[in-house]
Amino acid sequence: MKKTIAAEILLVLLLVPVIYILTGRDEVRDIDADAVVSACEPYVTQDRFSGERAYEMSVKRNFGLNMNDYPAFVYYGNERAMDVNEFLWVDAGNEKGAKEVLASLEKRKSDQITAFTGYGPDQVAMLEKAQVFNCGRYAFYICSPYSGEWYDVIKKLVY
Amino acid sequence: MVFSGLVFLFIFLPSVLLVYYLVPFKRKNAVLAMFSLVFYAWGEPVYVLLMLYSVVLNYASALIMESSPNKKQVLVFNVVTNLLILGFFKYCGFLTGIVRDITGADIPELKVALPIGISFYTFQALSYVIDVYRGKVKPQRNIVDFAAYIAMFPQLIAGPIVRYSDISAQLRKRRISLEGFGRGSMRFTFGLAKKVLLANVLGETVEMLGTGDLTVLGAWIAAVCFTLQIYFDFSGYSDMAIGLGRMLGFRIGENFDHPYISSSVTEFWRRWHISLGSWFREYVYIPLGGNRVSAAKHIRNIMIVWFLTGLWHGAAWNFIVWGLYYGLLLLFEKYVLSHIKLPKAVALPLTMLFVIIGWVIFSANDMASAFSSIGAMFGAGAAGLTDKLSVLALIESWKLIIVGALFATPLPAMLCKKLTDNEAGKAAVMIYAMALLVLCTAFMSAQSYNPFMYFRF
Amino acid sequence: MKKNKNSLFYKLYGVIFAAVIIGCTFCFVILPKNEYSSREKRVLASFPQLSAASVTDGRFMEGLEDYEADHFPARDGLITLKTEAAALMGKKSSHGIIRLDADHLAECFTEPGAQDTTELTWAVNAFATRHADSKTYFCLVPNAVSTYSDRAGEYCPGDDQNAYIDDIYRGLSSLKAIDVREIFALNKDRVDIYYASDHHWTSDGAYMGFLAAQAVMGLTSQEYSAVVIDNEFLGTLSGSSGYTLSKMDSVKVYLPLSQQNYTVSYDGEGRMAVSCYDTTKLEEDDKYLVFFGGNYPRITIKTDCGEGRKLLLIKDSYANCFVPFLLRSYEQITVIDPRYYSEDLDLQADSVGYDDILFLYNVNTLSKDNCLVSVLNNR
Repeated sequence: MKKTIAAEILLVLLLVPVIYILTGRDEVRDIDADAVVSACEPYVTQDRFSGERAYEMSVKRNFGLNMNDYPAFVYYGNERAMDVNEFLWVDAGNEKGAKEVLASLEKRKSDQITAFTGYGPDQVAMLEKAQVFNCGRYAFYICSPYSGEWYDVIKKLVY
Repeated sequence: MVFSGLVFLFIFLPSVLLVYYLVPFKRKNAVLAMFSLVFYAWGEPVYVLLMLYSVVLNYASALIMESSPNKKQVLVFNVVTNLLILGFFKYCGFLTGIVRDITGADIPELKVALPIGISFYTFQALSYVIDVYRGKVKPQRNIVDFAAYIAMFPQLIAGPIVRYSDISAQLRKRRISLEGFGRGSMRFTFGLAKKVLLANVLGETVEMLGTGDLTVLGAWIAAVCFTLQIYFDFSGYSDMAIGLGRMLGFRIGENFDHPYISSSVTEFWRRWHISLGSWFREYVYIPLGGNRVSAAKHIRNIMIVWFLTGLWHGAAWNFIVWGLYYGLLLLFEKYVLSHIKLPKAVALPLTMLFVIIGWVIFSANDMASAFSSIGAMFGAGAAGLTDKLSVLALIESWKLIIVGALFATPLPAMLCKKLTDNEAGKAAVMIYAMALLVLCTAFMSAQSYNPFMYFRF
Repeated sequence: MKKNKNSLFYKLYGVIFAAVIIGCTFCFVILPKNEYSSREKRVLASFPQLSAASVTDGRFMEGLEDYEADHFPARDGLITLKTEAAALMGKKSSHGIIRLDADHLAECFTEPGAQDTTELTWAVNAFATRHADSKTYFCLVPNAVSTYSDRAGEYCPGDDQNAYIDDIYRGLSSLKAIDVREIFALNKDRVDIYYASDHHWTSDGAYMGFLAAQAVMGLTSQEYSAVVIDNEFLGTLSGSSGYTLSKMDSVKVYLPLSQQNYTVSYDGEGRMAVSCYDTTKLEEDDKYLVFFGGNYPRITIKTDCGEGRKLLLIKDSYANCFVPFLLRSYEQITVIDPRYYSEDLDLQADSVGYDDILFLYNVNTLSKDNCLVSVLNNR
């Protein structure tokens, strides 16, 4: 009987890391604007982005978001109107706010796709690969030729 | 990965078949287990760990039970652990929601995703351990063979629920032949057509109508289309599972037997999702005493089984209500209607009416929405008799409704059987099957809409 | 006994099935992949990034499914087969596009929310009031699904564009409306107002629109000869819907009988042209781009017509084949596309001092548009 109980305990102990891996991976670290900027550095190139961090007007115009409402944000825009490269990180202060911001980000992505469909295939291709997501109280909009790698870097930063 | 997708049909299946047929028999189960894990991981990369744990847990439990003096304790341990895992991943959100509603306490929402197929493989595993306890089967000593059973990709994510006792002998010895492969692939083709050409297309009409502001016509079209959609989706998947099993040499039992020609609700549940009904009968109803007890206990048994059946389908109130709805109807038929024999011409439509209403409850987002949809069907609270949207829905779906109703009967299958008995007929069926295969491929290439309704399980 | 009789039958099907799935997989893997679909006018998916991260969160698998869907052998033929089969089954539309008849396609219209409409009319009215010394006009062009609603049938999917146009015109108190619907109704069976396979209007349709605008805005008349410059135009509607047509569209240009000299300056790109037409685009798939080469944030056209008037044209792509008709009436035309414009429109209007301001949109684009309002409100 003792062997039985021992085996059963072993099986339950084996379950613990499984449950942990399946549920405990959502811990979001606290990050600040400087951390985001240094994470983004390899992907912000002069010919693609204007290099300015805080373009409140552009964020208002493009996403409909008022950056005064949020604790922090980092935005990289671009100078040429036909470019769709953009990066936006918003610290919304709480999870609910991040979900609302996400809605605006997703709308931006679909509006951009509508604007360029049938007419700007390269832009549409870049937009379809864009990473728009939220985690914890942050929301991200990454649209660049390097969306995939940029996303991996951000994920490592945040999780 | 879904069967009705390009990646499955044109990358995964050819690969697994080639490897499976090339390796010697004693390696076939290993190949099957490995590919099944890849199949599962494709859709649920991290949750494959849970599946592996389930294999280990149940494999070990049976062996421990064999060498333990107190077999019952091991059984209880295993059943409780299996159900706790199922309960945690599937019902956590639902239960915390209830607690929150009752106590008003602010419990944070646990972000737990539902691993696909957990209801199916957990029930398969339970059937194994309980049968070992009962002495019906011997424990499987080969963990690879056991993994092949639990994870077998044909029925992993949408059933049928294959009891270990039905398949244990086949794990050791099964006949793999070109003819079996051919029969399996034809079955698979027909199942694929049901899913891609009927279920998905009918589903588009359901989605178009939505759930708000239905007219009487709209409510009926939505209900009828969903009734057909869920049948072709689920039975199509079971057909594909049985066909795939056959291609691998396994004979899996039928899961659907033309449920929509039933003349009573009792008959309906002998024809719909047969493997689930028989699982509950074998492992819950009969142990509770079945119908060999007093009337009061019998009623209790029925209600318990149907409560659980409803709950198994999803972690929401409308599923529970749906289950209890059928429990009550079955009791009514047993105790009230047992002396009345209705003519088939009345009984069949009446049964279908109750089935359709049942599906409206099943498919609703919540009970309030279910009541308003059912009400709209009978004129209460409907936004009129017809409107542009509902007429458009009718125009777009009437042909499919007729075809669907026809294929819900045994007539097409009977015709097929007759045709294959003569040479010209054989050619016709062959061409028909090939045409379906091409058409399904076309639909899968262009699809933006491929719902998998049983992802909740 | 029966089993053996049909054994050959099943064996044969087994072989066929295996051949089909193995064969198609083989073709998919081996055949060279196109990068761009000229039928759908989009870049096709590329092989997904393979990494531990992309596998664990499922991105690689999703990417592979998109990749296979985009590069499956005989994809174009299969999509056409699907669309036609679905139409036989009863489906009236495909990806929001319907068949008007065997030879014409049209895009369905979904009514936007009342709030969006109010925001739009408010923004346009406010803009017009801020520039009250210019005469402001709004021309909202219906699409084929509305103009040819008799062909579309009573139970065409989607909403009624006429109601939307009336709502907009009713809300625009500070502007003069240019309603093209009457002239379209008179001429719709005589000429093709829209392309069969594209959501734009033809040059014939644009000329009708010009005649309607001319009456309201007092524009100068001109004699034109309509010349077909291309016969192989297959537009956006056929590509994205999967419907095939029996013949391709022709693109016409209206060439003035008397000589016109003008310059076209693509501001922000830093280049100039002497023609509204960019014939290099005729070698590509989207022939409609022959008009100005496409949409740009700001284009300035200067003519030698001697009228001395200036026009500010705020538009979507419908105006591209409309502008050539305006060259006799204005000395300077500034063409703005709000989707790509990021400067200050009020500043632009004040700095030049336009005599006329014209908004030219088609209903489908305007109803889905989000940029015009933000550009007008300048926030």
